[in-house]
Amino acid sequence: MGAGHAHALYVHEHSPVHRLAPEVKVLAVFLFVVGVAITPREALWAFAFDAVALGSVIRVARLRFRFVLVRLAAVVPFILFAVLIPFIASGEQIQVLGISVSHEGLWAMWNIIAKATLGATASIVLAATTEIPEMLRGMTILKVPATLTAIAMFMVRYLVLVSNELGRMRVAMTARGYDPRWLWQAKPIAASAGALFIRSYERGERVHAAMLSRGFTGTMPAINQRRATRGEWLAGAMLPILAITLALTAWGMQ
Amino acid sequence: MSHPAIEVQDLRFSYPDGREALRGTDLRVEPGQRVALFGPNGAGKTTLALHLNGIYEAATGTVRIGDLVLSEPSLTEIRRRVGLVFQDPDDQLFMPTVAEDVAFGPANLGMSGAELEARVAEALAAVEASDFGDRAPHHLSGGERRRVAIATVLAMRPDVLVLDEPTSGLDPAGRRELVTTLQRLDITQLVITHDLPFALELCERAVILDAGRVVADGATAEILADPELLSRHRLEMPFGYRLT
Repeated sequence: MGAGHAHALYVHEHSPVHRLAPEVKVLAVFLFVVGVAITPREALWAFAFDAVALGSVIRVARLRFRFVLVRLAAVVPFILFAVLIPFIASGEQIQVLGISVSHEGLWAMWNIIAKATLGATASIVLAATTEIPEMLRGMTILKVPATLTAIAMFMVRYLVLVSNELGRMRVAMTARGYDPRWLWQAKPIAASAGALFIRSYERGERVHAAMLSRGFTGTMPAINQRRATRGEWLAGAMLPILAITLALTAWGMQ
Repeated sequence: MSHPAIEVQDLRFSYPDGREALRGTDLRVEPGQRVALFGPNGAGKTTLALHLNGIYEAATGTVRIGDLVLSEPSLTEIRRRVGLVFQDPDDQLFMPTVAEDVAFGPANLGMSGAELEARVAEALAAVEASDFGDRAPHHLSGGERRRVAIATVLAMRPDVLVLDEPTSGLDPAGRRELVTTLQRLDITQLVITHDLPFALELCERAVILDAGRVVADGATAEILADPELLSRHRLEMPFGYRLT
C-alpha cells in the first residue's frame, strides 16, 4: 500500500544514464534547461537539434517514448494557457485557417510550448533514471544547503507513512457513516488534517530522539562517498554544451 | 573489579505537566544479562529507557553505564554504549535506504569509507538482513523492519541493548525470528515488554516497574509463576498458560 509513492516517476533499468552519477545528471538537466531557455524563439532548427539530442538520451536510457509522452501531460495546463495568447495578444494580425490571430502572440505561444516541452522532457528523463535519495545526494554534492536536502529527504521518507495514516483516518470516518457531499460537511476533514499535523509533529519528536540516540549532533553525516568521475562529467556535459552552443549560435546568426 | 552494565540509582523524573514518571527507580544489570522489564501502561518503562542514554535528563539520581556516569561530557560515549531500539521501527528508520540508516550511527562516530561499509555489513549480518541494504524501509515487512532497526544500533557496537516492546505488531513467525536473533546476540539486553511468554523464553531475569519504582525483581520463571504479584501490577499470563 502506497509503496510506489516515492518512485512513481522512476523506471527501473540498468542503462548508462541510470548509472551516471546523480550530481552530473542534476547539473546537466539544469544547464540544458538554461540553454533551451536562452535560445531565440525564431531559431526553429536549434529546438529541433535539442529535441533530437534529448530523444537520443531517452533511447540510451532505454525509456519508452510512450512513457515520456504520458508524463508530459503535466505541461498541458501551461500549454492551454499559451494557446490563448495568439487570440488575446495585440499587434499585427494575420489569418490562420480563416481566424484572425496576433502574429506576435503566435510566436509567444510557440516559445512557451517549445521550451516547456523540452524542459519538462529533460526533467522526466532525470526523474525516470535517478532515484530520489540519489537525486538528493547529487544536490548535496552540488552544495545545495544540507538543511534543504535533509528536509526533502525526511519528507520523501515520511510522506508514505503520513498518507497511509490519512488513508486509515478516512477509512475510520467512512466506517462510521461519514460521506461528505457538501461544504458544511467538511469539518471532520479539517479536524483530521489537524490530527494528522499533531501526529506528524509527535513522530518528528520521536525520530529526533532516535537520531540523538545514535549520536546525531546536528549535521547529517556524509555516508555515500562516491563522486562522479571525469568521464561521467564529460558524458553529462554533452547535452548542456550542445543546447548552450545552439542558443549562442542562433543569437550570433540574428 | 567489574562494573555493572547498567546501574540506575534513585532516579526521579517528572514531565513538564507535573506527572511523576520515575519516583526513585533503582536497577542494576550485570554484563551479559538479559533482563525483562514489565509493568502496566504508564509505569515509566519507556521513560526509564530514555534516561539510559541521556535523551531525558533526570531531576535527581544517577545513571551509570559500565564505568561511566551519565553526564554532559560522557554523553557521546554513553550513546554509543547504549543501543536504544524504539517501539515503532518507523521512528528509528529515517534514512532513504536500509544501508544508509545502519550507517547513520557509526558515521556520527566519525567512521567513513570501507570501515563504515564493513560495520554496516557486520550489523546487517547479525540480524540476518544482509540482502536488505539497498531497500527502502517502507518496502520491508514488520518483522524485517524490526530486525533492521536492531541492526541500526548494533552498528555502533553497543555494550547494552535496550528494546522497547520489540514484539509489538509482529506476526508469530516474525516474533520467533526476533527471539532467535536476540538469543544469538552476546550482549547485555534490557527488554521492555508486555509479552510475558516472549520474556520467559529470552530473559533469565525479570523486573516489574510500577508507578516509577521497581516493585519486583527475580528469576523470570518465578515472577511469572506468581499470579497474585502479576495481577497487582495489571499483568497476567495469556489464557491457557500456567507456570508452576
